[in-house]
Amino acid sequence: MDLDLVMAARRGDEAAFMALVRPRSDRLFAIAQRILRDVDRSEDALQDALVIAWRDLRGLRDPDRFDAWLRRLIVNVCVRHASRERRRTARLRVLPVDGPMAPDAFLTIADRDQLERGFRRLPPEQRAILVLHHFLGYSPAEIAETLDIPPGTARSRLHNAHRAIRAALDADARLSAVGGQSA
Amino acid sequence: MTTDRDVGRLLDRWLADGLDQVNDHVLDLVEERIGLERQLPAWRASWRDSHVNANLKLAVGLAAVLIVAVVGWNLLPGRSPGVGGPPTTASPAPSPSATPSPVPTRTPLPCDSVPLCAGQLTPGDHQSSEFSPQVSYTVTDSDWTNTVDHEEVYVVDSPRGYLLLVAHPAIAERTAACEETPAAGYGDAPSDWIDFVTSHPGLDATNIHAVEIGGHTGQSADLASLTSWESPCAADDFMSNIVQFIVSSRPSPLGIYGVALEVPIRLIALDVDGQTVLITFYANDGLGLFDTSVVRAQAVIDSMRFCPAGGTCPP
Repeated sequence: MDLDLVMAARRGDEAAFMALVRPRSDRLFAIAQRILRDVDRSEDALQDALVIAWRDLRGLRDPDRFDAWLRRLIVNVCVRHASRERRRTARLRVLPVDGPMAPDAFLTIADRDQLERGFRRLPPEQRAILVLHHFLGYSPAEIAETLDIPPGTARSRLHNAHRAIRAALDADARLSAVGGQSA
Repeated sequence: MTTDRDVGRLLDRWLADGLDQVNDHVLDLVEERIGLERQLPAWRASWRDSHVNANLKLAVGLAAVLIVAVVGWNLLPGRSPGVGGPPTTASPAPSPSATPSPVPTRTPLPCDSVPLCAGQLTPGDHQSSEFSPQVSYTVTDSDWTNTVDHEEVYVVDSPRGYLLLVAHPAIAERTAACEETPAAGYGDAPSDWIDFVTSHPGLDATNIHAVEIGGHTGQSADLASLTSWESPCAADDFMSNIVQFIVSSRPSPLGIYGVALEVPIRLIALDVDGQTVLITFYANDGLGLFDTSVVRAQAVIDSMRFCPAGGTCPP
């Protein structure tokens, strides 16, 4: 941990703050991109999270927790952005994924398309939990700490998120089978 | 039918793909925006939802409910405020986090800490509604914002810095046990405040002089902390260079306040009809521009008029 940089940033040193967040920005962006599934919105969320981090840095009591605090900020900002977007596009057709389609023999194009649609149907909080678990590899205890919820709640929400995406995938498969148009 | 294990494996693979590098222009914009966004002091930042735990949120939420209940109780026909009902002391309430604008402009901070405030102030005369003694004042710039109007604490914010008023201030000392205790040998009169800051080993007090504001007398000093200062509390970590000594003697959202390196303040202790009111100005610009930013703050301070609780401020 860059404790000196955290302390300098807390005293208002902008250069120290940028030196602190620059090497962390790719990871934060990757988290945002997984939750929001949109490059522009992920960039906006990252911007907002970093500006909030700058503004509220003096409220961080334990500088050793800077990384965890930053991840919590980006997740919370993404959930807020996704909630707004969800209200706005609830009736719109889902757009294709923005990220590159890396070749992966395990996942077919149909799998990806189905996952994309199923994932976008989930509430933002469930998306965030799945990203924390399956992208960052967080345990339910770590998810609980990041989202500031009890561990039992994290476990049940993770279970519910799995159940929800499974239901979304199954529903999508049924729609595809009868030639329906999803989302 | 998709099984749990299938879903987990699919998600692992699927989420592993995707963009992992942010475009440089995003960080350029962040750099531009933080240049326009000032940092919140710890006591304000720590109330935001990104830092408070679930129990505190619940407690604060209950406090908000209590305020509504108290206000409702006191507004019942035939009831006078504070008579026969629960204590009327306001408490901090939760607030939505302000989301910064996508364009690089300074984010306003209206009422983000306690439930009551006037928000953005138009040039002209204004007065507190909760802060007691009631204070009226005049702003000539359009960039002042009242962000806290609490019985014990009042804040007027601007891009240049902010004014913090404390109705019942007390002088505290941070101990090695990381607690605040009343500073031994000091009362709360204006002269006590000046005696304390001039004798404190971590403070450099300059420009000490008597003041008269709205017919009330007091003492003023400009304070900077010394690099040699180390908090006696080892756990203070990044706050170890901050001389923490301003608290409220009554329940309030103030916490402890002080002077940080490179953030000089103007401190005025005023005797308002036997009650000390502390007025401080914290400049955002650091040492370099303190002299210029304090001039505009002092104009607001000089326009302040105090009147007793329940009374009407003179025009």
